[in-house]
Amino acid sequence: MQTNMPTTLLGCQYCGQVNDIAQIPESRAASCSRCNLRLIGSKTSNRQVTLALSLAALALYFPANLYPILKMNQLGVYSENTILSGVVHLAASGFWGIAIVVFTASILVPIFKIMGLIYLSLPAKAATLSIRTRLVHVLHVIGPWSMLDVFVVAILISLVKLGDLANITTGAGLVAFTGVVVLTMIASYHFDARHDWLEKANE
Amino acid sequence: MSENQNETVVAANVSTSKASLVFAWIVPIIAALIAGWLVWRSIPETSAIVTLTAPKADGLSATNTQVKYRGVPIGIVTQIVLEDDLGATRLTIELDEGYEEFAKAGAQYWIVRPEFSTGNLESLRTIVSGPYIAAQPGDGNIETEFDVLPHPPVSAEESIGARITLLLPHLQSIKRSTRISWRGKAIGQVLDTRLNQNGQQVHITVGLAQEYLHLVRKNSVFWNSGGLDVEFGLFSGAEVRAESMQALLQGDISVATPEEPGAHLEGGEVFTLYPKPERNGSSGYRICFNKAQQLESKLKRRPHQKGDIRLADCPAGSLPYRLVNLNLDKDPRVKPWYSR
Repeated sequence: MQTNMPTTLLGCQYCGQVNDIAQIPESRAASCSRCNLRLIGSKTSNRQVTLALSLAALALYFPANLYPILKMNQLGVYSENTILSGVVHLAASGFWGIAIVVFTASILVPIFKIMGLIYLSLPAKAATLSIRTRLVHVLHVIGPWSMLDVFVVAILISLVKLGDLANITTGAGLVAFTGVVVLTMIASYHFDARHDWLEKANE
Repeated sequence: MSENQNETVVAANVSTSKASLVFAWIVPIIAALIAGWLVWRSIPETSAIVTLTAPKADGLSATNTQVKYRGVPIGIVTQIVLEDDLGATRLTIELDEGYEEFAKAGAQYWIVRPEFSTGNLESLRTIVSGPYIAAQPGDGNIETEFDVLPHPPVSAEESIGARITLLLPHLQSIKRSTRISWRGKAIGQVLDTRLNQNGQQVHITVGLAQEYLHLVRKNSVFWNSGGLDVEFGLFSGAEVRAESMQALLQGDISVATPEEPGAHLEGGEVFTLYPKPERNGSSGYRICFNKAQQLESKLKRRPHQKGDIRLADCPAGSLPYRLVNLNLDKDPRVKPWYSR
């Protein structure tokens, strides 16, 4: 009794009812037929929200790197560092390992996430579906690691409070950088990879 | 089986919620606006770029050394290079917005380093923070090339009423910061010291403050009152005296005007600075100041006069002076004698 089962089936995550979303228009969300709770968001909304948030993160990426994240005052000598200048100073001082870690976590990873999210918000092609799903998983995993830099600065600031001898305060770049990380995390968790597979099923 | 399938698979409902996508796009628009504003603001706000020439740039570093006026940072050093002929250093300064007056003719720049000789405790702070460049605004046409002054200019708060020149054979302990004191109160300052053409004499340029200018006249007498006075006598014991701690460290020049004051100063007058008296004898002459100039001519005529004028002989209000260790080949040395 092999009928052609529709492959646009989704199980409700609340009540377990298997629903068929073939008739749902692209711009509308779907709710479960049994419990009426949300089944899946609309495809256009999903793509656009992901794109919007990743573009916002991209916009904030520039001030995050142009403005200092750290302002130090040691014995009256004032100095400030952006992410890049901090990496360069670390490398110049011989701390190659830390410099590479900071460079990866604070410069490479955010750009990689932003580009990945923009790519994901584009229409899917059949050949790249599994890559896209893997990409979503990778983004989920590495996303929080960019907060490394923010926490390091926060700890430094709370530890180094020696009055006029040494003093560290935040720079505007840190706020922008936190915005970049948070926005990319929200975007990557918001993205619903199921839409890719449902599309394929409807071909 | 198919019945089961038909029971278990039901078409989903179209969700009734229709959230607008507008809110989603507001986020990147706001982010782009903020980012654009921040990027635009991060473009350095400089009002002018000034080039300074200095003999050496010890302790200065590009992007770290600040330019300050009255303690407020007004600019920063962006580049330090040697001149083409390696004879001096060239410092490039970027002035902050709103401080265009420092790029006008008449502006002055000097490097503040720790210096004990000036007795200025403020510059000790530069031991910790590193030297900085101090500036004073100008008010002429736009000018962007300056020479760094070797010494700080005279404080702008005390306006100089007149500059006069003092001559002396030996500089002794006179420095640029040595003050001119009238009855102990500072009324002027040594601005510059140099040798004359043939190196026989020292010329000191002295600036007198405007508000005390009327005290000094063309017949005033200047003498070196710095350092220590040590007096030994067989019966009187030892006596060590100095005008003040500052006079001890920095030198001191005292000035007094005779009872009948002469004409007001116009500026540029030349005076002799009488050197510190030497005390190797207990005998001396005690005279009243208003006769000092007459005494000079008297002494030349009667070299061994040993008269003694008592204090009571001096008219009230005049400063009695003791003339000690006369040596007629040299100038008479006068030393203030305050009534006790």
